[in-house]
Amino acid sequence: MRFPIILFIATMLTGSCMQQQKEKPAIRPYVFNDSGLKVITTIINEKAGTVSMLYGNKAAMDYQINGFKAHQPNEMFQLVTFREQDNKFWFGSYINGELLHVETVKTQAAGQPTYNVQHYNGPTISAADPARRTDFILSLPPAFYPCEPHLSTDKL
Amino acid sequence: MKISNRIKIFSLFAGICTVGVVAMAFTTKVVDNPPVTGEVEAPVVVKNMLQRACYDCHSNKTDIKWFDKLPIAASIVRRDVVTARKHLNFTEWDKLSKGEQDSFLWEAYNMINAGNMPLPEYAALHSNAQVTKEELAAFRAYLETKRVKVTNTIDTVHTAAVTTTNYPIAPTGIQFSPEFRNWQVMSTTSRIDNTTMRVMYANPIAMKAIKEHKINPWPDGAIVVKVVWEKEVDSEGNMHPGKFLNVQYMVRNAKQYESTDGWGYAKFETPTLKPYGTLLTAQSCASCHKAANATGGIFDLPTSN
Repeated sequence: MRFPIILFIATMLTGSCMQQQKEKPAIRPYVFNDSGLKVITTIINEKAGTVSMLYGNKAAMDYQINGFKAHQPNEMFQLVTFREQDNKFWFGSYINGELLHVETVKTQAAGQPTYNVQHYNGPTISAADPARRTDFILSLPPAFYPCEPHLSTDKL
Repeated sequence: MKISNRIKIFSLFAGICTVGVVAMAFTTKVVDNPPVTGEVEAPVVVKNMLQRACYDCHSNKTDIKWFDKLPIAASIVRRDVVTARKHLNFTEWDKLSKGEQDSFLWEAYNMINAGNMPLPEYAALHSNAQVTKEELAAFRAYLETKRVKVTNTIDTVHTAAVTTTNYPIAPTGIQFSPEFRNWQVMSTTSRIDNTTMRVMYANPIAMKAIKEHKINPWPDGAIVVKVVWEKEVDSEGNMHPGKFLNVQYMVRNAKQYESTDGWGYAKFETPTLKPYGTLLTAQSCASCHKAANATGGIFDLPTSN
């Protein structure tokens, strides 16, 4: 009779210990430094298995979020692309994984915006792509954030 | 002679106690089993597993063993069953919407996969409650068939954003603040168990804790904010954040939020940032976040393994 009671108490105690002895996760290092840029939007490309976050400086935010109708000089956009991976802690969710590349577009007072890409992992974006990539990056509509002026529908 | 009397008295007392405990074990009513209104539907392997490993607490078919009726054990079992049924009842499945049913199945899988369910102390005493790798794989395969496809195209017309600075306060006392827009992004996720995508921000205290691997437990003052949108698909198949759904907060204060494992929860819904739920909702949040015990209750940390 005493055995189940002792076993019960023992399992209650060891149960809580077992919780703490689980495998420690290896958190992926944060390679990209946003340097104070803010998130404009997020784009998922399921075919490529990637997720990208578009960041912008104040001038870029003025265009994207604050409703400026035309691009101004010195806008800086950075599209940061990660490989998507399974979320270790929730089956049913994909999460950003390793950093693949960071593309930067800067507008100028005259002429075409500049474009460059820094590769970290994954395939290289070919040299013929800059104009197309610049257009793609500048055409991305901002995500709706509930706490700031927003005019995304003007740009769709 | 004296010693012999003492032994007799002790033996009699022990005997009475034993009879009492045995009587309790056979007569104590721990919980009722209300009528079954509708049972969960799943492939046979999955259903059998749910019945064997989950039904004792999460159904109206609770099978109470004799040792569950013993003193102390009975009150723990009663508490567990009442709490479990309130959260999820596989035999009142018809009372849930299709979306809720699927959502609970994904949650059940993740709780089992994380080793949080069946409760380790329950599984230790009920050997038939262990879930095998094969059963878990079958459960996963079943959920794969329930992936939600995004069909919304980019056409959301956003309503005006909040312009006030008098931001709403949730039942847990947490106030919305747009400050998170200046914080570092912790991660971004895309769900296949629903049609949402999210961006998570971590305040400087939380980000420092992540980088220094000091998240078990997280330091007081750490805040993680999650922004949730419906996914919308463009003509090239890219997914974008469409309809804004909510902003969720997790605020760390081990003492203040002791009853919810040290995290305060808040959710602000729709562009008007309407506070969602009650204090009880936070309990439900905490219950689910136990599946992320390995990372101190936070689900969405990118891992390299």
